[in-house]
Amino acid sequence: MGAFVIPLLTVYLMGVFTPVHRKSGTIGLLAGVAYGALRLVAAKLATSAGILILPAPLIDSFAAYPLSMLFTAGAMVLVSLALGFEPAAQRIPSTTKFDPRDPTRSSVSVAPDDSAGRSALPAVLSLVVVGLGLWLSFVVFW
Amino acid sequence: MGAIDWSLVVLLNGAVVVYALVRPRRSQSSQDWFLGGRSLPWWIVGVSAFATAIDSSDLVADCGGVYSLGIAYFVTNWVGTVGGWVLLAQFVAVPMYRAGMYTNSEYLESRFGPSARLLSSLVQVQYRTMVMANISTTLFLTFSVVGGLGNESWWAVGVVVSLASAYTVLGGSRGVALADVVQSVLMIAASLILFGVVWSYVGGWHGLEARLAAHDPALPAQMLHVGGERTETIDVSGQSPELRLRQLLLGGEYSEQSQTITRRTPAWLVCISFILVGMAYSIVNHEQSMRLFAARSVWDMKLSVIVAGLLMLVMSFFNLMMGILGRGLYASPASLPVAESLRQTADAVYPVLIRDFTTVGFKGIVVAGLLAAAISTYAGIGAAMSALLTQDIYARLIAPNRDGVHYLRVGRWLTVAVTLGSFLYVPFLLAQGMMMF
Repeated sequence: MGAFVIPLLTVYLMGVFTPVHRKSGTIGLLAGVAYGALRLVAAKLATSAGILILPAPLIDSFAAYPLSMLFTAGAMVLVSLALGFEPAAQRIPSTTKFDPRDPTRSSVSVAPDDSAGRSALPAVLSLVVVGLGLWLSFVVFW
Repeated sequence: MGAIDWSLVVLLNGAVVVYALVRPRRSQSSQDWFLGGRSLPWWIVGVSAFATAIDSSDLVADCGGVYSLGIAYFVTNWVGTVGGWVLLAQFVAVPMYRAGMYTNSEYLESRFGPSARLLSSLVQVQYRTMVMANISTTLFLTFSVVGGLGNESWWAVGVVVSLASAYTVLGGSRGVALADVVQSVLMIAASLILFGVVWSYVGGWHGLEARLAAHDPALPAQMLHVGGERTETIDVSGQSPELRLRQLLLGGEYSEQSQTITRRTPAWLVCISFILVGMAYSIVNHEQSMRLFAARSVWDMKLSVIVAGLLMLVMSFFNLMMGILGRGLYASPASLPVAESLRQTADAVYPVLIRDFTTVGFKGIVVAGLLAAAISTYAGIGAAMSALLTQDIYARLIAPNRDGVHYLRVGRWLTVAVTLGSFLYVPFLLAQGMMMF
């Protein structure tokens, strides 16, 4: 799971929260998947043939998750440093970028006016719920 | 299981399936099917997100995993999944919702181009159809161990899967969400009953500590504390020095006295890994985005994850603790009172607890709850994977200029195809175990 899904998580988060270049998504994804696949091969080679192609910490199954995220994000940042970062206006999601003529979109694309979506209540309650989870994990059952 | 228990299972789940088939109006358009008509209030979306997250593999496979990993695994749900939901609803899904996107992969094309979208869809389909296979396998274990059906259990699994597919095909996202609400009641009741019975038998927290310590004095610290260092001990007695050296290439310390290799992982690294696993579940899976996209407004979408999060915080404790209680009762998978073929891993621990600790009537309710969990997630995954395949691959790459009615028909057929395809993973899961962390 970590070989594919963690790089994908990283791409979503980097896409939403950072101005990484448009081309960095696929490259970052491939970099993360490549690390995941290499890790599996390295573990197999070590135990079956005694050949170590990656340092042991990079093969560890628990370390693989944060490392996969690092490799993916790192590749995306490097690509963006080389090609430039994406301006905010070009990061606004739009279905017209790939579906300009799709008739099913016309009734969905214009979301209902939702000024209540700017209420702080969901954000505040979200922090409370996350705080409860952190408290249970790192205080009550630590 | 006796006639009363089977009757309860059929009646309770049958009622939910009939409700799911009859209650929502039949989806007439792509927007109806893929986006639930954008009509659902926050509490339905929240309960549906929770019900989709908790399936029979969470109850059976995760308990099998918690049997070894201990309470540290709870962090996956308590922090990872809940935190992921908050990020999804507050930040990640909002622009997708406002842009009228049908799948979360569409966002990747908008942001990074078509290849990112295609890769995302393929990864999700592969990953989530394996989870569907997990669910089928857990149902097989339950029918086999609790129901005593043996290999005939696969017929029962087929019936359950067919029913889940039926209301998904007809009702789409809205039908799935409405059924989830009813199924959640069953799931929660079942979990609380089973927990109460086994917890009481074990003797509560102190009784559990004593039982774990009786197996191994170090076990309580490892199993009952998130902050405990994770220790993996590999028995290398009988291995040649060369094979032992190869094992040591992956790290660890060798003990000549006990002929074992011990690998230690610090608690902080274990927690980070588990949190990322949980977060990936919430954010990457389109079945979760699909629940949120059915909300009637952004405000409803953001509030829904509060409901889902609170339910997850509470029910994760009652559900996952069963794995640790099982470890207190059975020192190793080999000691589980099941057929030898089911003792290769600890995956049978949850069905064993149902079989041996519930009485007539309660057994039926607990199994009904397990089935409800399976059906709700099965339906959720089926709908989401169908959406990905229809929108991100078929409509985008193969047949881009067809109308919504055509895509709706294709989506329904792909639900069936995805469901049948998931069974290809089952032999592998039975042999290797379901929770491969």
